[in-house]
Amino acid sequence: MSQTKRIIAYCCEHGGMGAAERAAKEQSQFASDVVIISVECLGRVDLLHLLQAFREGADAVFVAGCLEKNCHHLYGNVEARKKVDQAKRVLDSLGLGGDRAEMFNLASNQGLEFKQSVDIMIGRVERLGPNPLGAKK
Amino acid sequence: MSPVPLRSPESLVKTEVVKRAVVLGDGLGASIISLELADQGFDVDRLMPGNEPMDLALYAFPSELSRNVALVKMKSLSSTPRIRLHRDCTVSSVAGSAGDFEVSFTEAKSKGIIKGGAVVLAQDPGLAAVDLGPTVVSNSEMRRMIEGDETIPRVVVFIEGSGMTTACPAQGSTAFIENALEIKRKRTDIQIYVLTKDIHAPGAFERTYQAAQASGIVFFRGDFSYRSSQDEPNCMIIRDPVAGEVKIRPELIVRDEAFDLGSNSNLARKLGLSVDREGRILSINTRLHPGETIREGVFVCHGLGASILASDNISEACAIASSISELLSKDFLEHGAEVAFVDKEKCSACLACVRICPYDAPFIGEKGKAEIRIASCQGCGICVSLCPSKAIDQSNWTDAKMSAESEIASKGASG
Repeated sequence: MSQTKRIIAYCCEHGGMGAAERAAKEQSQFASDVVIISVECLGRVDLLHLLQAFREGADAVFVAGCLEKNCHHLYGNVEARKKVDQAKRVLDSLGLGGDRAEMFNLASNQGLEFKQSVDIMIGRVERLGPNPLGAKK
Repeated sequence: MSPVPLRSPESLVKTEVVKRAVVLGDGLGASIISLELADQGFDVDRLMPGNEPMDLALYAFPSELSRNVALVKMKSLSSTPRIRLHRDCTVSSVAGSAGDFEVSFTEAKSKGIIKGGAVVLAQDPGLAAVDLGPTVVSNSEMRRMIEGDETIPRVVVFIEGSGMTTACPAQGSTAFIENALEIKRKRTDIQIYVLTKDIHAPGAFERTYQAAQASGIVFFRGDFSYRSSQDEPNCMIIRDPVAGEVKIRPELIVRDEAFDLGSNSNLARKLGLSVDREGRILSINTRLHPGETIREGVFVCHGLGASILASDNISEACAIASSISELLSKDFLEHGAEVAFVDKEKCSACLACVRICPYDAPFIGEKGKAEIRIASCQGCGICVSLCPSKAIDQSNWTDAKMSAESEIASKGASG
């Protein structure tokens, strides 16, 4: 609990980023460091980027994109979900825990849901403990 | 951490805008768009699948006003010199990008090519064949029964949401009101019930609803508030929050109009638009960007497929016409700040990008390697992350930059 958790959020410009901004406007307080990286569409997020974050010591990574069937680029969020599922499998086989990666579908007005997503990830990191790859550095 | 909004100082591609529009379709929407654009000084080519503009019989006109407006507009159609009508047309392909489209079509067995800066698909869907027996008629059949002075049974129930394949919440029961009122005007002894999900009464419709209630038409509101009775045949039980359970024995049921949305999907695919399983054309936020589709410069007017109220369709068409005139009033369109590009050395021409792109931007070029149509690319990056050879990268969102960001984020936050 005492140690700050490192959580990275990939947010798409159309859904996730709006939700994050809304959460900021509603002055949501997170019990951890959340670093938000914005991308045009979640389709751009590669398995490489997800796993790289874990290699560098992130405790959890989540991606937040548009609602199902409401993607600005039609199916970028579907592609992203595939990548996140891949990442989960890799993390499971490494023994890091697939729950460290997750995908959320958020509309740009769902600030509260963004905060809840962050809380879910914080809860998972508390359960799984800090990323062992990060501790070595 | 949010990235610096880096954009290339100059764009990569400049397209000259052809100051003409191509309107495909024969419905009310197509007519209004053509007329509005002609009024604003743009030349319009209108390709009609049939011979004459479609009649207005399918539209419900709850107020005389919208009917008159529509008729006046339809009349002036043939007298406008800026509109060129092409009859009996089949569109074979649409090439090019926003500002410079090339539409190839067959007109009465001769082939033709026209250029336009914007293309609108405004073809109204045809009626779907639905047969639910003699006691169920559609709204337009009901209108014909009234006009033909046919005998109407004593208990008539209008059920909303029973025919249309598209969800259309704004319409509610408004489409039925005119018919229901007309029946009451002729014969006051006929019992009329309207089962509706919601009652929307924008503007002058308030008065129509008032008249309907004053004449004794009974409205029941709510989702799935009715079921058929187990014990008695032909009996319907309606659950109402105020009146409790009400039993009625309908002798005639009037349903919504059912449209065959699939008839437009072929045309939509030729325009490079995505169509879902039910034939609905996927478009981006209708309220923020009326009629705009994922392909820039291609517009869709849903017309009858979205609402059978003429006033709805007229306002949709007018909104689309102004979107088009905004596009056509530009001299040049600039593209290319955040587009994907291909490293031809690495490309193995596996077609993964060609298949996945929502915008039809990648293609296999003459050298057997993938290339990106810069004017079509919207910079979503789906192909970049999918490419198995890592041959595609995106300007301003390069893999190197993304990696660096992810690295700094995961390290920096700890310190």
